[in-house]
Amino acid sequence: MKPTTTSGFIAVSMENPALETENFERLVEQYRTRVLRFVFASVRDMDLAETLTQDCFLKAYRSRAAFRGACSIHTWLIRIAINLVRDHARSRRFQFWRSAARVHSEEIRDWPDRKTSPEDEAALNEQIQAVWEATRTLSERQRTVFLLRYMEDLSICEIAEATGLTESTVNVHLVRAVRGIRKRLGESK
Amino acid sequence: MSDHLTPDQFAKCFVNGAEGLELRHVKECPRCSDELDRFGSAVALFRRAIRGRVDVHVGSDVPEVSSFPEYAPAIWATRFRWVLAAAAVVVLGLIPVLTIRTQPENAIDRTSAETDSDALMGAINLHLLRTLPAPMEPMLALVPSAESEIESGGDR
Repeated sequence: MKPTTTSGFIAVSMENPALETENFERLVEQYRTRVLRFVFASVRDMDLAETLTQDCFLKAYRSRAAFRGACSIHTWLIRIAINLVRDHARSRRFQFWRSAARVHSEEIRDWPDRKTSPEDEAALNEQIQAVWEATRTLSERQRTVFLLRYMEDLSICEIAEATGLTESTVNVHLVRAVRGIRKRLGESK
Repeated sequence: MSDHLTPDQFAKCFVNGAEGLELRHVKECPRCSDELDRFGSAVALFRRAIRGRVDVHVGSDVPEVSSFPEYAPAIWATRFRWVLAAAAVVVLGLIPVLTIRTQPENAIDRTSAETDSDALMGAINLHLLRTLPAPMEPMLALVPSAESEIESGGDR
């Protein structure tokens, strides 16, 4: 008979103590912002990003016994998040982008006050929106590697681990992403 | 290199940092150098905005972890409850004695704690002064040194 916790969940023996049931809440607190940031930048909708982030931790909790420590916990969580974002985009391809376009301006309104004049703030918002819009036109892989590199500061090696690509492939996608965004920014001027 | 950077060369310079002929060109060509600088600023601004937006969101709500099981009460808390209570009584009784004996040491501790907090605030200020994130640091080699120092808040 398998050992269970008081709440009825199966107690699994972990190699990494951070993944034990007792420590999982701390792990969620530690990584929630980083996962949410990546998901939000990918899906451009805070409510959806929250849902996918919760799904990410739930999936991580359920599959924690399979985590062998070959990569860091952060990389492992990001890998789960990448799959969730991809699955979501594929399952709701049309509604997804329509909905993202709709909430975009609402999200922009919530940017923190940067203590600038209204004109400057409008110009900054325009620039932010242009970059965000440009990431939307990239392929899924290009967008993912771009966000992981320049939003999450992951190294090429960590991005390769999270995406399952080779380092040279990550580099190629990153160069193409930068070229694509620059082209798009040039067109939007 | 006679002309300006091609889109591919530009992207490679931004991602990996310029080398060889590209590096020489960027150093000599204000247009390409400015272009790299402008692109880097746009990406840094986007990054700051997303991070700020998520920080505000996370700061304004309570993390929802209700889908995870409640923790089992710690075994030591139930088994050694009486031992802990007795230890607490002893410690409370000793506090006045210890306070009188260690007053001069406390004064020193307080001073060092203040120094530590000053150092911490200094480190935070220094960190906040950095306007370019770490992944964009290869780019700093491409702009004139005075600008680099300003961009990085002199923290290099």
